[in-house]
Amino acid sequence: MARKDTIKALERRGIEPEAIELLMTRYATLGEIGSASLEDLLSLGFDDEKAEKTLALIGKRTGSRSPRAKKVEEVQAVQMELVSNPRSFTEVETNILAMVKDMGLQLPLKTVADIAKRIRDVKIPEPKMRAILQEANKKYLAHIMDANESAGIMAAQSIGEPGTQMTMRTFHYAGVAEINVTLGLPRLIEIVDARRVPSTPTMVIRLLAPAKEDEGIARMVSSQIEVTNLLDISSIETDVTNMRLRISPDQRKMDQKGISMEDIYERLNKVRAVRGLVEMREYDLIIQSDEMSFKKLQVMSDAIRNAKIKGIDGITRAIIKMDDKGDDGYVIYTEGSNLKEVLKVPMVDTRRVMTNSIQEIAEVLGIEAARNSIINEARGTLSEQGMSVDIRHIMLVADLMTNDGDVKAIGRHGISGKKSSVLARAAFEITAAHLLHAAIIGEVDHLDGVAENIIVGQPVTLGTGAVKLVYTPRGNKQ
Amino acid sequence: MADILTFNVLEHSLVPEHYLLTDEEADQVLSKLRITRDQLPKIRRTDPGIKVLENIYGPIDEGKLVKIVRKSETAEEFVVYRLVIRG
Repeated sequence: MARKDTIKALERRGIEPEAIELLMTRYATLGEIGSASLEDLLSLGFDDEKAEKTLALIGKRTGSRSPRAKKVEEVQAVQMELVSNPRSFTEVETNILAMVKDMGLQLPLKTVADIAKRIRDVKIPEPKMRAILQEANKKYLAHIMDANESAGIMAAQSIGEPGTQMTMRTFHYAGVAEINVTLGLPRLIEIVDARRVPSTPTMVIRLLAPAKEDEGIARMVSSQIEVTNLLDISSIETDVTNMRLRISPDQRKMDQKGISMEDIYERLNKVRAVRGLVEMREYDLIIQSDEMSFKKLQVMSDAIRNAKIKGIDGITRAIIKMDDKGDDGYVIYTEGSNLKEVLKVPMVDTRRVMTNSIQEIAEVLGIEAARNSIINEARGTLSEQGMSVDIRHIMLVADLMTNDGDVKAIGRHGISGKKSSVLARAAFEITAAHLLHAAIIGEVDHLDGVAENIIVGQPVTLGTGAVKLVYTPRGNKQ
Repeated sequence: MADILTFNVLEHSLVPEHYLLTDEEADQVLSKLRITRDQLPKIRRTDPGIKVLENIYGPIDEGKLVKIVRKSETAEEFVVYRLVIRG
């Protein structure tokens, strides 16, 4: 902060000019003065009374402390609870699990649940059941992934190959009235690239009890979400002779959106270009220009034209649709996404609000939710194109992307760019730059990965190459 | 900050269950899996899930473990651990 600004700020606080002069001999910024103690000021040549008064006027310490204390209180006020929703086991499942444990098998819960589902209504004697489990376990162990098998390469191939068959540009009207959603390969790339904002952000907002059954209430909720500009509900006339703007709201449209004249008046008064100039009359609003300038009139007109009267930033359109398949009743679909704000709207089913913006989910709901979202979105995109990719491959990608605590892209700026091996990075992209940088800082490559071992001509550390086997002929055991 | 805490994210259908582990539990888990802390996936202290846990348990330091029970299609229930890091 410049010295001049500091002096000005001190003057505004009502500190005497001589005192300011004295302060400026030692301190340069308001922050420094704020952290000065009474003793500091006394040593500067203030007398007792004046020092105390000056300190009180600067008032930085006490001022900053009290709001912080208040914040802590507020947080304490909302006591939250752990959400625990343990899986409930059926009788058959518990029986089978007990048997599995008894027999010392290692069957996953999913297999047990599947078996239990199949034999639900059939009575199977215990010896037979044990035989079934034995067989199931054998199959399971045969299908389990071997140690050192290259899961990542298989996942890459399994997603990459169907990707080559996807149509390049697909625009699909997600089954809902005219909401455009990017699908196909562009969407898949978008997910894997961890873009901050998807090219077509959308939300699916489910509603709570009274709103989901009543279209009128659903419309009200929707009007709180969708952005309404001044131009959507009124016409603006430029009255050049009197140097003013006349806004004539459409009563019918206002009723539809639940907006009153007072709302418009209040919102417009917050627009900087016309602040304090708005005047409310019975059927219209007048904005009288304070300058005799056409330019000013034009500026004002432009400023209020797109002024937001109601709604949530970023949500350009909201459509209500009856959910025919399930029992969700009326559901709001939006163009644009703003998860944080939508969660605050009353009557929105906060537990099931969905958005296709993964970064937004990571910020508002956390990394684990982002992981689930990546899986859902990627699978949705693939299956919509008729590609059946095993979900485990997608899960691996999602796990990798969320491993560091925030959503990382796969590619040069994300995972592949952060590999620890120089040779692997050089093999991937911008070879010379990586090698040069490594040479400058003296990087060491431990040859742990696949690419670097291929480069130097060694067996890769995967599959049989990962284990050190020594063959001992039978006769030479000792 | 008070802003974020108006909604318990753990209630959302996308968010799996999060539990804070005590240090003893954490050590047990690590010795059972035979790994060190830095080999675990991470979760930031600023993560909304951790914020909710902080609301329940009080401040959570770096180096704590969080147990996450995911509902999975391929395994019904799947337990993972994440290491709390600064964020």
